[in-house]
Amino acid sequence: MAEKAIATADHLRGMVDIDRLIHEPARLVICAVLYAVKRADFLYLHHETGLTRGNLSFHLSKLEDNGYIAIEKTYDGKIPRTICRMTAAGRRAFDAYRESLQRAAQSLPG
Amino acid sequence: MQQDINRIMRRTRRYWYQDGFVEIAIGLLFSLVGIGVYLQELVVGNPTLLVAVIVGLMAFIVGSSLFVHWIVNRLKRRITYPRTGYLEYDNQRDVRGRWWIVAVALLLAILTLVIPEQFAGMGVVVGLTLLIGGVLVFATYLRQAPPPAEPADG
Repeated sequence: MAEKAIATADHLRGMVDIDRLIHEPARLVICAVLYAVKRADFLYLHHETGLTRGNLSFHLSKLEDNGYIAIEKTYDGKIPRTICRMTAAGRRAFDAYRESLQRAAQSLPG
Repeated sequence: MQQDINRIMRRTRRYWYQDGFVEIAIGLLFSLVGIGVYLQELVVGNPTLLVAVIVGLMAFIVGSSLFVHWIVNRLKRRITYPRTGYLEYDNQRDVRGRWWIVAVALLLAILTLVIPEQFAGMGVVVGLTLLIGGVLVFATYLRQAPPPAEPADG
């Protein structure tokens, strides 16, 4: 009983070190989308997250600054297109985030 | 939270199928194959025409299998991506799922050959056409719409 309580406390303490960059809800959705695919464009992320264009752009820049995603500006004919993809570092960070979330959820009673 | 993340990821993976172009294309292919089989029945008394229809049907199946990918991509680029966004998937494939579907297609096709009373009048040629056509169509479908591998949810 005591050992289980200590393990639970350890797991919950691990939540303190959780990646706050990913933990923010809007960025979490962005990361979940980009993790599932090779590349996604700005329009898809805009639809999926429901964020305003400016807000989405801000969160993408945050993730890009930390090396979690890479952003490429291209053209499809004459139409500009912003393509985003998750980097290897981003994938590792997202895996670690999910693991810590999973551990914390499992350690909770009920 | 974890369930929400998984749901978002699953929805993202399903995006390829959401516009229905692949299903429409495959449906059209099957309809045209059906018309081909009907034509075979019409010309069954004329061996020359029958061979021409069978060869034409086979050529159509092979040709359309090659062009479906191109057509679906063109439609998606023109209609889907400008409206709801563009996604590109990894080339990972769920091999187990693919072979399961191909195996079912093969089994159904073989059944048309070995249970003649259930498929009276279809004959070996039609059965073989369905066999090859079914496998080609399913293989093409899966090549274009590979279900991305689902990572363990932990």
